[in-house]
This record gives sequence, C-alpha cells and structure tokens, in this order.
Amino acid sequence: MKKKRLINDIILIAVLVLIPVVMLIYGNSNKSIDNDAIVVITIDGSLYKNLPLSEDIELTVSSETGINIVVIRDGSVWVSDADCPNQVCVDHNPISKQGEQIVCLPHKVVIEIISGEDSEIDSISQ
Amino acid sequence: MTRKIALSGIFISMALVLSFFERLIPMNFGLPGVKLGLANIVALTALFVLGPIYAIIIQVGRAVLSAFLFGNLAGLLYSLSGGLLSILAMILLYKIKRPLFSIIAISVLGAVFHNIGQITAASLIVQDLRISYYLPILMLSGAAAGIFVGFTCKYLIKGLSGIKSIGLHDPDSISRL
Repeated sequence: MKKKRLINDIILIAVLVLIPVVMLIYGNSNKSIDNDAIVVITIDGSLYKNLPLSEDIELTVSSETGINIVVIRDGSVWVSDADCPNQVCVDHNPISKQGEQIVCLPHKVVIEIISGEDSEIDSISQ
Repeated sequence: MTRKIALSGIFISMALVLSFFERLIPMNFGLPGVKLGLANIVALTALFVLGPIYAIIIQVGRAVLSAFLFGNLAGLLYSLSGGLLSILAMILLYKIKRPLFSIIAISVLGAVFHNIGQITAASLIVQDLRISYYLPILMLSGAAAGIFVGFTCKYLIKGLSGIKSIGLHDPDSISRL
C-alpha cells in the first residue's frame, strides 16, 4: 500500500512538472527570434520610447519619480541601474522574447518587447 | 468546537507570522513571485488537524488580515484567489476515501494551484492574458516549494497528532503521513 502510494505521488508530481515544461517548450518554439521586435518603454501608461531590439543602446529613462537605466545588447533588454526603493527591475533577468516585460512599479515604468508586426496596431489603439 | 475555534486563531496568527518572516528571507532568482509559500504549511496542517471547513476559514482569515496589515486591495484579491484555489485542490485530494496520495502530493498540488489562482487573478485585474506566459515558471517553482512544504507538514503533523488536545480531524488520515 505504502509503495503504491509513493508511485501515485511520483506520477502526480511528474504530471504537475511536465505540464509547465511542455508549456515552456511550446511557448519558446512559437516565439522565434524576430529581427523586427521592438522594445516599448512606457511611463504611467503613456509611451516614452520605441526602440528596435536589434540595436545596442544604453538609455536613461527619467520619470518624475526617478531614473532607470535600460540596456539593450545582443537582443536582450535589462535594467542595469535604478534609484527605486525595491530594485525589482534591476534584479529581473534580461528579457529577449516577445511578450516579456520588466516592470518598475515605484516609477511606473514598463519595458516590454513586442513583435514588429504588432507595433502598428498598438500605435493606433494607443 | 471551542477548542477548534481557539486553534483556528492560533493557526491564523502563525500563518501571518510566517508570511511576514518569508518577506525577510532574501529569495532572489530574478523572478518576481517565486517564493517558498511558508504560509501553506499552516493551511495544510489546518486541513489535517481541524478539517476542510476550518482550513478554508483560516485561509480566508489570513488573506484578509494580511491585506489589512501589509498590503492593499489588489493584494487581497491575489492572495484570496490563490489561497482558495489551493485549499480547494488540497481538500479534493484529501477527501478521496482511500489514501491514494500522500501529504507530499497534496502539498504539491496545492502549491501549483496557488500559482494558477494568482496568475488568473492577475490576468483578470490587468486585463492582459500575456501575463500567463509566466505561469509555467511559477508552476515549476510552486512544485519545488510544495515538496519542501509537504515534508515540513509531514513531520509537523506527526508530532501534533500525538498531542492529546490537538489530534487529527480524521484519525484515518494518519496513513497519509
């Protein structure tokens, strides 16, 4: 009985681990590298700047509440420094795929990667 | 009855202390939202010691009190949706008459459903389904945390079941430990 339960446990946990792994693999295969991908930076909901993901740049985003230094290099985006209190944005791993975002709640700054094709629709809806 | 109400109060306060204590542990993998879920130790222990109904009451009480103490209304919605979905999933496995699964599996299922509930609430609040790209990462970290919480509860409940004034809600559930 005890041994059977151990097997049941392992099956259930394996299923619960496999589902997210499959989701991750499927999600990544869908997001092929897009050379037209755009990095959209918004402050408090309004557009601050659109930048191509393919161009290396270091940008200081200054909002009313402080600054975030955004780095785009080799198709990845990260925040290298910020004067916000919690530093969640600085600790966040670099993002490189469409739909991923880094959020700095204290400064209301959102950095998001969108695909090149989406950008026209987005600028109209904004 | 009175004994259970008194124990519920103790459980809620322990859950609050644990979630506060968890904020003090620096857990940084560059992934916001990934955490141990120490408060789930209390939820799972309450399920075994006091039974499903009290476990739900404790989960709700903890979410409401912690929202008043440290959080805000949005935080309440996240922790309520996560906490309730988690406890309901655990009750479902617990209620299966034959003990097909041990407390470890119950804990892992609860942890994973906690994250599913929170992500669902977040997508609904922000009105943006793209947040769910983050769900697999949270599910994996939840499963890992669930194993840790499960083993903690296993030994905790074993100890508690020996105390005369505490005991187990369902004496048969000792076979799940």
